[in-house]
Order: sequence, then C-alpha cells, then structure tokens
Amino acid sequence: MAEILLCSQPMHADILENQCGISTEDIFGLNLNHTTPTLTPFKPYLLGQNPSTHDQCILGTLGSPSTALSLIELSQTIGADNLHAVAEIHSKLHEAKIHLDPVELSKGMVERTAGVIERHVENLQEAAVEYQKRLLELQQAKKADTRARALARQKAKIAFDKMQQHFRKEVKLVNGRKKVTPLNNFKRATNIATSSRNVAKLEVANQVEASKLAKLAKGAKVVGNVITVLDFGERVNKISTSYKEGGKWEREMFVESSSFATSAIIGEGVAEVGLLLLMATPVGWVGLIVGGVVIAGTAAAAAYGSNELIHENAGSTYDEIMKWIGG
Amino acid sequence: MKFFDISLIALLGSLVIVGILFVVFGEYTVRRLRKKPELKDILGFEYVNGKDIINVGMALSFPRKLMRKARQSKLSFMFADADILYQHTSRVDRWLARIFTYSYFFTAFGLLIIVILHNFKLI
Repeated sequence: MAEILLCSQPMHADILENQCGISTEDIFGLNLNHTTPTLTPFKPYLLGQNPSTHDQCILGTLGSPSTALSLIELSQTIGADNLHAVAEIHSKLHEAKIHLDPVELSKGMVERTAGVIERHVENLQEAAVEYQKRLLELQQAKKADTRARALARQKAKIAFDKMQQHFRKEVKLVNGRKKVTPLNNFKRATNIATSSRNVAKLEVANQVEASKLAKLAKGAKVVGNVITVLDFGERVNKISTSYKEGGKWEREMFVESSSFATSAIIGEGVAEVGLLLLMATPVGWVGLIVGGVVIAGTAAAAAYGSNELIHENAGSTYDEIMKWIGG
Repeated sequence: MKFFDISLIALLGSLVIVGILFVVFGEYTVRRLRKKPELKDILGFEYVNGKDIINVGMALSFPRKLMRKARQSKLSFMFADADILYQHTSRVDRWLARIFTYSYFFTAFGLLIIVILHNFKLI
C-alpha cells in the first residue's frame, strides 16, 4: 500500500521532520528520486523505505495538479480514511450513472441527486452523501457565528450516526472482501473539517490528534490557542488574498489586525472582570454556573460585536489617518 | 475627523502600547516567577498561553482584599495568589504590573464603551 503525502503550501523537509517525524529520506518524488529540501505544494509525494514500481504507478495516477488539488481539499474536509470510502461510493454512483460533485453538493443540489440515489443505490450511499454534505457545511460554518457552527456540528453528528448504521450493515454484507478502514471517527472528521491543516496524511492526523489530546489533558492550554490561531490564520489569508489581487493590502491589514486585537482584548477583559466580581460575591454552585454562562456570553457578545464594528469602521479610520498624514 | 475616529485611533494606539507592556512585564517579571518551582501552582490557570501574565498582573494591582476573596472562592485556581506573589516581587515588579494591568483594562473597557456608544448611534 502506498502512502501519499500532499501539502497545500511549500513545506521545508526539516519542518516536516520536526513536526511529523517523517525523515527526508523516506520522501520520494515522481521519478522515485529523493526530493529537494522543500516540498512543492499540490504535488503528491510517496512515503516509505523502498517504493516499488507499483507505488510509482499510483503516484503517477495522482500526479496531475488538479487531481492533487482536489484530493488535498477533500482529505482535509472529510479525512484521509474517509476519502477512500467516499471514493468507492463515488465510483459506485458513477456506475449507476450519477455524477456527484462535492461543490454541487454544497450548493444544495443534493436534494435532487438524493432522489435519484434512492431509486438506484443503497442507503449507505445516501447517508454518506448526507454526511459529506454536512461536513462541507461545517467547513463553511467555520466563518459563521458560534450558534450556526454548533448547529452544523449537530447536523453532521446526526448524519454520521445514520451513515454509521448503514455502513455496519454494508460491512456485514461484504465482510471479508477486503480490510476496510471503518468510518469510525466522527471526531476526527470534524476536527479535520474545522482545522484546515496544510499537510494531508492519515498518520499525521493521528499524531497531531494524539499530541493535541495529551496537551489538553495536561492543562487545556491548547484550546484557546488553537481557536486564536485559526481565527488569525483566516485573517492573514484575507490580507494575502488582497495582496495577490493587487488590492489595498495595507488597509486590509490595518482592518484585520485592529479588529482582531480589539475583540481579543475586550473579550478577555470582560471575562476577567466579570469573573472577579462573581468570585468576590458569595454565590453557590448554581449561581456560579449561571454567572459563568452570563459572563462567557457577555464576553463573547462584546468580542463579537466589537469585531464586527471595528471591521466595518477601521477601513474609514485608516483612510482618515492616511488623509491626515498626507496633509 | 469624527470623535469616534479620534477615540478609536487613540485606543488602538494604546492597544499597541498594552501589547508592548504585556511582553515587557511577561519577560521581566512573570518569566522569573515561572522559573521558581514553589510558585508553579499559584500563578493561576493558564488556559491560553500567557494568561498567567494577566493573572499575576491582576493579583499585584487589584486590591488585595478582593484578590484574597477570589482565592477563597470555588474557582480559586483561576487566580494568582497575591499574598505569596508579594513576597517574591520587588517594588519595580509591582509598579510594572499596575501600569500594565490598568492600561490593559482601561483599553479593553474604553474600546468596549465606544463600541457600545457607536452601536446605539450616540457617537
């Protein structure tokens, strides 16, 4: 079995070695030669000690940039292990002359497609389509507010449970045909959907998760950081998009950095003072929980509101400053 | 320029200063405190990296009576222990903590107030 490594941005082999424990000597390019120190994005690499020509064939199949691009997007959305199952379902559907496109799915075409599926293929496929759609929605909801995100997560969970049932049935039917990696990890799939990492590989996902869990158990420190980093990453993305499109990226940077810093400090400040006031008053456990919820809500609302407002207004403030400097 | 613009520029400027103070206070005082093994458990719960800097800042600058009350509460682990910290910090540390903490909360609530006022179309 070939292990394929894909990344969505240029990645130095040293970083890969440090973060994922993959040695440079185990990475092979298309012609089975050892690679340059930096991995090219959207280009598949082979992992392993002694790759065979069979592996090379597999690599060649995935070699075109567009394939690699959609592969990395898909595996980041639904998880590498689910990718195989989805691919198999996809080919089954293809045999049944149903064309399924993830983008089309997310655009709400699924209702129509689902009707066709019902007549042609089994429930599992429908459930998997549903699950895939929900995960794509979840990835979309990353940008929305907390409530929409929770709702999307809930929907994904329900779809997952349903698919799990059908999958068990299916596995029983085809038992022994081949060793199947079950679609057994809802949490991992959602994690991958919410955190866009830039390297796609199953083992990496495991390691990252293991270390995440270990860190979480140690002091739960990492939770806040991950959220902040994700939020920050999205903002940086906006700035770089503006830069690439030849827009006013300095202005964009001012807007994003000030709204980020403002919402962070307001949220933290409100939470801190609220907590201190709560602690200084003699309340019981129930009061504590209620008060905690109120504080968290207030802090989140304050942070969210300020983010919105600064986001809307920082642009004009920036223009004012520029006008002022320019005289 | 509108009043809102001026106050927003001023507060964003002080936000930058708070950022610098955060790093200075963290590097100068809190890093030294973190290294002392006997202080490991009293710096407060650090659910985000660097949260202990704010915990220590609060413990050293808010009234000690209030901090003592917070330490006796059910969520005491969220706060740093002011009484022990006072024994391990110099006068410079404490003043740095006060300057940092008050400018931090001043900026936070200043921003919050102009956001609220602007939301209700008052400025």
